[in-house]
Amino acid sequence: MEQKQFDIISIIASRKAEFYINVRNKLLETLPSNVDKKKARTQLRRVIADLDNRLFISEEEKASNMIKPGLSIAQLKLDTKAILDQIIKGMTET
Amino acid sequence: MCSTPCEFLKNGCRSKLRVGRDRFSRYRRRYGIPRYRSYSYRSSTCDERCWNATSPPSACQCSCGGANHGGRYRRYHEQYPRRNFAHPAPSMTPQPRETPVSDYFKSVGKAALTSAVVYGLSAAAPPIGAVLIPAYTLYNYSKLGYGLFKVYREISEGEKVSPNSMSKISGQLGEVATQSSSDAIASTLITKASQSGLFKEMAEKTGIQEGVLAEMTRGSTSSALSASGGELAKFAIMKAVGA
Repeated sequence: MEQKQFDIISIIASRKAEFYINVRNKLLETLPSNVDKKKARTQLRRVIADLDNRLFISEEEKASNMIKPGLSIAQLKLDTKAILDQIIKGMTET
Repeated sequence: MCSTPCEFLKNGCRSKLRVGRDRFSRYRRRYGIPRYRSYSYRSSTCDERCWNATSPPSACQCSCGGANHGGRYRRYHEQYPRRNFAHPAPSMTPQPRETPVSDYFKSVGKAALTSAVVYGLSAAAPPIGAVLIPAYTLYNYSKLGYGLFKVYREISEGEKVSPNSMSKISGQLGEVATQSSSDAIASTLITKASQSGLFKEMAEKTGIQEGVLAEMTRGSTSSALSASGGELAKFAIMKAVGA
């Protein structure tokens, strides 16, 4: 692997981190007291980290083969359904 | 004429009510209703000096109010538990059982998770604590990329690391056999990068927790090594403003 690939990995990791923090903050507000928040947080972090990198590259970027590091998660317009399916699958696994 | 408590209140006879512990004594006496009050006494034996007690006989409450003349008398309401701060009574309400995380998200939590994911992907104005500006625009992402590459090069020094030779390398690095080879390489890479202080520095500049950054980089590296590694090579990176 070359340095350019690691640059892209670091951008994708940052996108995942941004997404994780947004989801975590929203999700923890709604968790009832009988669910272990720490476990839920850890599991969510692992699930989002293990998501396929391609899910965090927008269609526009794929079409142009150009990663735009300045875009936020909301600006990327990612495939919500694909990401959601993967997260639900990961979170419901025992 | 005020014969009932309601009539007392309606006809303005409140002043006729006796102010004290038993406001309706006259009404009770008239209709022969016993007083609703529970008493409990420690001792049923009165002091010999309290033969003229005004309280019920077993209470020994003397009219003179002297010492030991009614001191052994107490009253409490049996319907309320007595407070004991040293050993509080167990709560009468049953504590809810802890639900496993996976079970919760299989059932009622699924909607909350869906809502949070949708919000996370479209949050235009994140709340306090959420990331407002992409972390990589605040920090030079290429520094992280270069740091990871340097660690990767160190690991693979003398041994070619590629998706095809990962099993061999992961065995050499002493990773557990059950872990997939790409995960093993990624975990080793992140461990070494953490030791070098790479994530700590980035965490200080971006405000994202070091553990979160490390975990996300591990997952992304693992994904790149396993599935989309070849695909990433075809992408170029646009120069970011502020990067």
